[in-house]
Amino acid sequence: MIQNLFDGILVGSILSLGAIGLTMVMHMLRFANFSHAELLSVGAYVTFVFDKLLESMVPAFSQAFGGLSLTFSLIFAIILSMGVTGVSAIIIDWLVFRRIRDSAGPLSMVFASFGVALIVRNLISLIFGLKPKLYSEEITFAVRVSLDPLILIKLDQVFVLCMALVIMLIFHFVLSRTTFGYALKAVSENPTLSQINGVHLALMIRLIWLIGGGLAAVAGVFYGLNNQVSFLMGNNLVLSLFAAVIVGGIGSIYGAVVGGFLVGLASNMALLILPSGYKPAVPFLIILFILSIRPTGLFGEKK
Amino acid sequence: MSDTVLNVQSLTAGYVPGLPILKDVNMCLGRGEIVAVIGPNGAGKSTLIKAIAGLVLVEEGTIMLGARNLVGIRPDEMAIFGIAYVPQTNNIFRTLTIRQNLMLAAKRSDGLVDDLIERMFTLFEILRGKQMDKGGKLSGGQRQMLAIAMALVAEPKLILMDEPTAGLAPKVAEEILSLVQDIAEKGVSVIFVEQNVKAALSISNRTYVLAEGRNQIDGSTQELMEGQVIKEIYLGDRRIET
Repeated sequence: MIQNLFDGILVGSILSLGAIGLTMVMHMLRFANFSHAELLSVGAYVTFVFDKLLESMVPAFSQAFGGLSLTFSLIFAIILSMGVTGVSAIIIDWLVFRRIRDSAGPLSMVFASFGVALIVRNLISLIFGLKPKLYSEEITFAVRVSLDPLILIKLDQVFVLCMALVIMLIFHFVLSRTTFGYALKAVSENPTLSQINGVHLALMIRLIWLIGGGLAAVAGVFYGLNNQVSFLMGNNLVLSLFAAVIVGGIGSIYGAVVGGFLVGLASNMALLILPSGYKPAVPFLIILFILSIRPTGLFGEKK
Repeated sequence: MSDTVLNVQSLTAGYVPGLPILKDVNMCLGRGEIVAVIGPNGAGKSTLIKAIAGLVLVEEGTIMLGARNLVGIRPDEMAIFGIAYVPQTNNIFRTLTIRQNLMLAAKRSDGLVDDLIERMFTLFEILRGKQMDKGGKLSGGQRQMLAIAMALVAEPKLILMDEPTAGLAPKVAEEILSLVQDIAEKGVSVIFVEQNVKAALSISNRTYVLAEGRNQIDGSTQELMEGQVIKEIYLGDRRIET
């Protein structure tokens, strides 16, 4: 049970990072962006490319930290990938969503996002092939924390969890202590009023895509570190991300964080009583349960 | 008019291109002057101040603030020119605290922000004790006060208010109108849209009556109060001929 609890928290932290960007876009641009999860794949693959490039350019960077798959090159690659994925999100918005936003309704945006997801997913498989990738070929062994009950934890998992929490804390600091954070929340709540109060809306939209894309990249890499980097990553995570956002309440950034942990925990704890084949159904059960109690989600505001 | 702050000339504006709500509207406003815009529902009163605030598409005409034409300027840039707008509803951020609302509205990050916010708390003492509360927790009157404080904290030359007393208890509405007078006495010009015509005329220096998107009557409030048409509209609910 404790093993499932730990796995749930770990998956939850990854989902939370991915869900933050999704909830901001969903609330501010008023559409369900089904292509957001593909940004996790983009981030994971871009990191993979930069990691290999840096390793070949500076071999010393390929030295792993004790017990971790993590190398200097991977750290730099993650930072670069956050920027590239964020910019990719802005480009996708500029090429696709902005045009539809100007001339059609939110439903058209949703259908367009399905199209974007398919294009991105297939582009990745075309470029990188169907075979999953690993950031490190080295075998990392799990550390036995306890024998009875048996609890095995990889150092990579501990690293991922700590980093995810640090990133969320930094994001919390930005949101709660800086004028930029207030502007982000203001735009999410009421775009017109935020404009009246001096917020440059078009710039904020670009920044939201940049932040959402950057966080999705980190989530993708962290998922890849604990599993493998696959072009199907986005497809596998999209429903869990939506569940996290809906459970937390659309538009609530803190809700997305809590929702991510809830979905991650529930999916893994459910394995104690359900066969693993039912795991994908758990996010839907959580959505049904939470929405039957609170139709606006845990942190969503009533209209 | 001497010391003119705002001069709207032949303004044609609306939400959809080719379907203007306002047609050839003119308006003039001096420093420290209170101008009321009144008229029946659908007359274009709110559209007029939204057009001045840059929120509505202007098809023709000019909105001169001093020597500067404001047509085409983005709403977020209006503060640079000293224009603040207080919408009728949804005029504060419910998820931000009162202090955060004011910090965002101040639009500056220098050391003066705290002084400006302190000034707002002196003006609206009731908000001081609630500064760490979320905006969503405030009552209707307190929200309106915060919305006005958010406009004032940016030190504007001109404040546009859309029905500032709508939905408020009579006593609170009276306080808000008295506050509008105080603001104008400090040299800030105010244009406000008001459904309560008596209340509007009680504090305004000048009044514009709009109907069907056009100027119908305008002039000093004193003159209009003495004229027959306004009296008839009040007393007999007569529709303005267009």
